[in-house]
Amino acid sequence: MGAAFLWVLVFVYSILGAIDFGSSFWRWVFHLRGNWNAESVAATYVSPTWELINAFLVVIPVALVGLFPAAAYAFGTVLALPATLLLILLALRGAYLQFGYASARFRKHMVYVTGITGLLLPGVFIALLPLTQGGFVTRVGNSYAFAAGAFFSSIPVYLFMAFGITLALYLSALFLARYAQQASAWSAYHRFRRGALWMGPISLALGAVALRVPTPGGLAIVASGLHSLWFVLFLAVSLVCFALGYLGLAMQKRGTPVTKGRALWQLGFGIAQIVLSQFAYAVGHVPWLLYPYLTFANSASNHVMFVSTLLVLIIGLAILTPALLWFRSLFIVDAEYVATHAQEGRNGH
Amino acid sequence: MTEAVMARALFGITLGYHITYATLGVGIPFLIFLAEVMTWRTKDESYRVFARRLTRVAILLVGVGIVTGTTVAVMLSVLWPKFMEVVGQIINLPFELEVFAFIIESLFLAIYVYGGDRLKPRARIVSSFFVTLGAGLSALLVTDVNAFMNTPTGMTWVHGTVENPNPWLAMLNPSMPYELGHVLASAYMAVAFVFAAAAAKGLLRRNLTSAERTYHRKNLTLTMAVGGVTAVLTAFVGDASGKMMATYQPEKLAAAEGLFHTTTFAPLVIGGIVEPAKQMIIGGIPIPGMLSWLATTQLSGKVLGLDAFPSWTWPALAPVHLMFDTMVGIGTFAIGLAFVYFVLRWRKHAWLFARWFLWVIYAMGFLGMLAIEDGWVFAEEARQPWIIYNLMTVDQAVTTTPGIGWMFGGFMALFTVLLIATVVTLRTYFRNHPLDGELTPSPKVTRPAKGGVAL
Repeated sequence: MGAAFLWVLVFVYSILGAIDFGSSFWRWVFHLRGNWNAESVAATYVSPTWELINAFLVVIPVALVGLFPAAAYAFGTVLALPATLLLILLALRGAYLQFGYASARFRKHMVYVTGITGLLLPGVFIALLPLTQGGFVTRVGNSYAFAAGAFFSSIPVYLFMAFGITLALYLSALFLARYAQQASAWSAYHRFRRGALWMGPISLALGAVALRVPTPGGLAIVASGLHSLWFVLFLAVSLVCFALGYLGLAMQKRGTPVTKGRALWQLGFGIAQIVLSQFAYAVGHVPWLLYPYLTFANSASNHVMFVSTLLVLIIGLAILTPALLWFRSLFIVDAEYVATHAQEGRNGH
Repeated sequence: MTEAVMARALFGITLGYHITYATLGVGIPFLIFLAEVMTWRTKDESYRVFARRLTRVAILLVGVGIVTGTTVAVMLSVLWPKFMEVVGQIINLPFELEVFAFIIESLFLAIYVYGGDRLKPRARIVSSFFVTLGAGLSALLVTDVNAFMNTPTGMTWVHGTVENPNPWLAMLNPSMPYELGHVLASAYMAVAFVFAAAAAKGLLRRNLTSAERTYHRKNLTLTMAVGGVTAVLTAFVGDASGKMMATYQPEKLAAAEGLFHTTTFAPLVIGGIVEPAKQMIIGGIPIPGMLSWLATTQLSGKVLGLDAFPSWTWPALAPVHLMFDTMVGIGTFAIGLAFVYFVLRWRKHAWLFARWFLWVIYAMGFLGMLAIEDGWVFAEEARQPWIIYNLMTVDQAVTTTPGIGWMFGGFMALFTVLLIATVVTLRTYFRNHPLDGELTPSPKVTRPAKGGVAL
């Protein structure tokens, strides 16, 4: 139950984060190319959402500490250096978003800083996956040691990073295409559609390779997963979703409008594909939290704390979800807001 | 420098940096809320201008505060993994609840900012109230973990492991009401004086239009009133907190006051250098019986001295005593200043407009923030060597990972960049949006900002 909850948090953040980071990257790209149309669509989405997405990020370590304190201890020890890198990138990104909006002087810096960090962050985040698969962490007595050299010179780790980055770009391009569709910004729509067409197969191929090449001394996700019916099922359905979504994207004439429903199901298949492949990955990863030392069971907190944490987080999220949905309806799916703000951005430049 | 000292320095500087943003992020929404209430009650548009200008500052500082807060959240696990393992078993609920308080704050801030002038006055009051509430609650919840570190309850500690945990009881530990009250009241106080200082600085400028002068005057009176009231509250809660310490954390009280020997009619010594070798305070002004009275409400009350505790658990005495007195001194000065201001205002005295008096108010803005930082450093220093009082020392909690030096360098560079950029952003912003332009309303300024100020 606790493990499932933690996975849900990671799912949600990975999707929200991928969209968030990828969008600022696209914004940067279109800023460099001078495509104000596509840039302003990306900018309109990025502005009101990052703080809430960041709040989600904070829930993950907090939940980990409350549910699996032994794992929090292990990851805390092991992650000192990677977390520093992550925090510095996140901090620069968040702060420059603020500076950029508060003063025109920083606007250009903001586009660059958030674009570059938006590109790198998904790669750094996903590098945590090969780390949990084992091979880079050793237990010394009561403590843990992280083989940073081996980690940063390992090919599978870089494959994962490339996979994470292209996946974020694919997902955010799909999302922004739908966003552009709502504002009826057709040239921007087709820019993002083409971006997704490129990124989709690349990320799929990288993902397949990254998961096939096992980390030395680590968990072989695919090899062990293939014995499980669930793993095969999730993977198969995920591939079908990808194929359907991709066909939908590919079979369109450049420059023509699309219907709302179509933009929506393209995005829907994209998200379904990712969620399902994450399920498959989870099946291959369970029961290990940090292979081969920590399982979900042996790092769980005492019963009272475990239950309280779950209750507090689930009730809290349940109460706040309606508020978040309302917020979403105000700023994200409100077509009028999208249209007027994308327009303003255009005129402003 | 040992790894533990390096880790403490890194975490201390990170927190010190975060506390500046966090305090302002708690106090500014409260002032915005008050300014909105004043707009509604007096129908005076100049309070609305004040609220609008404060909002700009709030958006920026809350945003950067999120960044530094996320840093603190992750750094806790990275630098103090053993401590966080205990936190996870007993006192993690405040951290969890804090996330939701924060979500409330940022949701309503978004509504307040994006809604802008399209919201009705009452909606603006309600949304700014919820921003204030969310910000206050997140500060209180995080502080609650610190209160637990001072007076751990709600479990039995058996050879370094938590047994019979009761997380709710741990939240309601003895320090909780006092420490939380003190933190919140002092944050409102310090921030009110920061903006009193801003108003004083505004009045010190030459060539003011009469509209600008009235605007700064009104703000000065409002912020001085808030600062004065909360300064008195801070003092009351601080005093109650001293009595709590006398019961639950007598060692900290003894260290703060440099009291070596358990005694009745204990004197309060103001200032002076504590000499652990000679077991006395050199210099300093003693007030006989005052410490006993403060700690127990009786001149003849018995106060435990440091001799009741083994000397390896004593914190660094000389700095702790001076930091404590600095904090109390600034608080007392703040109460005095607000009192003088209102007496002068009541008597319509000329000093009220004297430049030197405005400079004193200006200085108080910095002193208030200094007192906040100083108070936190005191609170942490005076608990040394413990991270959780009487249960776990800082050395036991620190990470075993080498290479803290690299982290230290990286974060110092980051904080320097952020600090410079914050100051430059605020300066450019207010240079490009002079007060004069906002006080004379034109249809253009009624929009929050072009393209959305964004969160």
